[in-house]
Amino acid sequence: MASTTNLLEIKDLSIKFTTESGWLTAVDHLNLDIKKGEKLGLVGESGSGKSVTAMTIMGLLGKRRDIAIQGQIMLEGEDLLRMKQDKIEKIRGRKMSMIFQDPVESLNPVFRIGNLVAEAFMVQEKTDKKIAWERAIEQLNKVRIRDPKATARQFPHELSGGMCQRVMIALALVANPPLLIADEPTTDLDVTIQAQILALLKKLHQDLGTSVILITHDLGVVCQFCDRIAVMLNGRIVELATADSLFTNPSHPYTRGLLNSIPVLGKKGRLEPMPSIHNQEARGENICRFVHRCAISTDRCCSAAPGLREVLPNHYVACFSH
Amino acid sequence: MSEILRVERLSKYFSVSRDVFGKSKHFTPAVKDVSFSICRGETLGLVGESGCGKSTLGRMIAGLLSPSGGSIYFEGSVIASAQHVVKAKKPNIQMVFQNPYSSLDPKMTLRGILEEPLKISRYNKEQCSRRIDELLEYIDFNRASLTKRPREFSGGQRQRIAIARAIATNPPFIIADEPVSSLDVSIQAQILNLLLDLRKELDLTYLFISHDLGVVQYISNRVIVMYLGRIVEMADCQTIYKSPQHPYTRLLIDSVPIPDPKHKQAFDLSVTNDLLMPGQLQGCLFKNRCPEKMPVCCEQEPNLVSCGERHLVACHNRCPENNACTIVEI
Repeated sequence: MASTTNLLEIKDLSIKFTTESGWLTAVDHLNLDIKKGEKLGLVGESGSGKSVTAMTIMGLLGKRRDIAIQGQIMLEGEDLLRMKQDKIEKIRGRKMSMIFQDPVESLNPVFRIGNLVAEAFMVQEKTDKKIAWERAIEQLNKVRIRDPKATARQFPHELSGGMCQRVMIALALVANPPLLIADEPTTDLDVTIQAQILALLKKLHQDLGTSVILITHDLGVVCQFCDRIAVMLNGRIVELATADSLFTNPSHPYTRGLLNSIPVLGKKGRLEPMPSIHNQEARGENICRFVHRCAISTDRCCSAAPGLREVLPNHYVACFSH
Repeated sequence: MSEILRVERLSKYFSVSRDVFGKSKHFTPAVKDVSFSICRGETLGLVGESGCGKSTLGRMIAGLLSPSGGSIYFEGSVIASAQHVVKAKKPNIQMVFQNPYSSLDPKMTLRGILEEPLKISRYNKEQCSRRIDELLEYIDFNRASLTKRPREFSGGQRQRIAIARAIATNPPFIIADEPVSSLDVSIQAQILNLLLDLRKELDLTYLFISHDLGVVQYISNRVIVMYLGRIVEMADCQTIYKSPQHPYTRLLIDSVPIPDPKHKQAFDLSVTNDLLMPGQLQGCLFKNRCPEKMPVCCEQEPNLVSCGERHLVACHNRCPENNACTIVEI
């Protein structure tokens, strides 16, 4: 379904934060393309830089002195990092939007659901209030909210977490943006509700052709949802492959470690956790990010950073052992 | 195997509204008529979605909440009961909580955290320090970290500390309430393996509460599935994953995304009504999400009946009236 043209191209993106002990590299020379109509998964443990990347694409980090952002993020040929703030605000919602982890907290508690969605229509399409309200009810219907008319008159606290996430999706898709970033959209939800939300996102992706970046730590979710998966570790992509290829031939020791650490339903056998590092992990320029936890590391891993290389068709791995 | 804990028709009602004098007017049942028992050395998994009463049940057993109905027996003697005042000595049941960031006192050092339960159990100074050394060995810490405070440890390390504190006084029984759900997957595996090793080494019995079916399958011998305060299914771990009988258990298992591209799952797009209105509380509580609903489901609450060896299920479909099925009394 995904076409060959790139919708978003991230080129050499680095993001650094100032901390008490100097600059901390959150994202390090990241290169990533998202094709039109593609579902891309970004997986990694906490602190791997997946959410920061998403926030930077959306322009939510802002221009601050304590954050250094380098590189290029090209959305349909325009560089988001060199765009003026007011222009980014115009693009946000029309060309890209985002849904967050905690749906109940992300919605303004003092507005009715209908008003929240109608406001988006009034801003994006400059319609008047009455038409916007009707469009809002239509939009709520699209995300399969039962009785959208009654729900539109309710407040966020009256809805369950799953319903709030549906409202968030409705809000994000008001202007049919070509890119939707979902940052851990189902992490706070129960498994049965998670399955419903994933099914809904899949259906909307089919109907609207939206490209989706799904950020999560759950390997099961990306496997079932995404076409292509990027595994991140400490700000770098260590493995990038199609979902089938990644799970049939996990090639980076970190990816293998992740897969061996999750208890999978229906499978028995002792889990083999990766060793964890007590101190600050390797974030230097010329070092493999996995070196201190890796069972097969060599001297070379401490002196140079491995780049992504194609080991199988469309399967890239950043490891010297390949 | 001898029985260590038995729960009989345990219920807990929380008041949802009060009148002007502060007297409770309406109650909601968080746990209703729950009965089960745990054998020594066993790990019993308790699964269910948020709001199903699994934590409330754990807290009642730990003595943090008092039951509204029913009783709890530990090693043969009653430790909590709604019917009469319990005078027995507090049993040695310890708990590991979900969030290792808030369950440790930020102002205490690691030594203080581990020493506190020992002092309460009247260990003298020498015994204390010997026991702390043993505990550090179990959780693989060195003595230098004894002066550190919780903020200096990572999430996984804090959860290890919480486990060390729980096993400090050699309790036979530990309640782990979602101990790994706030941790990264690689740390989660370490903690699960630690719990398994400790169970073997110290002959512990666990009540393991979690919403993650994969985790529960990994650590448990037997599983209880709860829905809205009731037990809907109880069976050995293998049985429940291989042949789930209750439609809710099947829904739960089918909803877990599997990291295997050969096993493509088609999640159902239909929206289910997960909330029950106050008027809908008679009959089976799963009726409005159930694909196999029958007329009887709206009228009569299903009893927990046996449908196999050590396998109980509460579903009308699994217990046709003409079939001679036995209502199980525990």
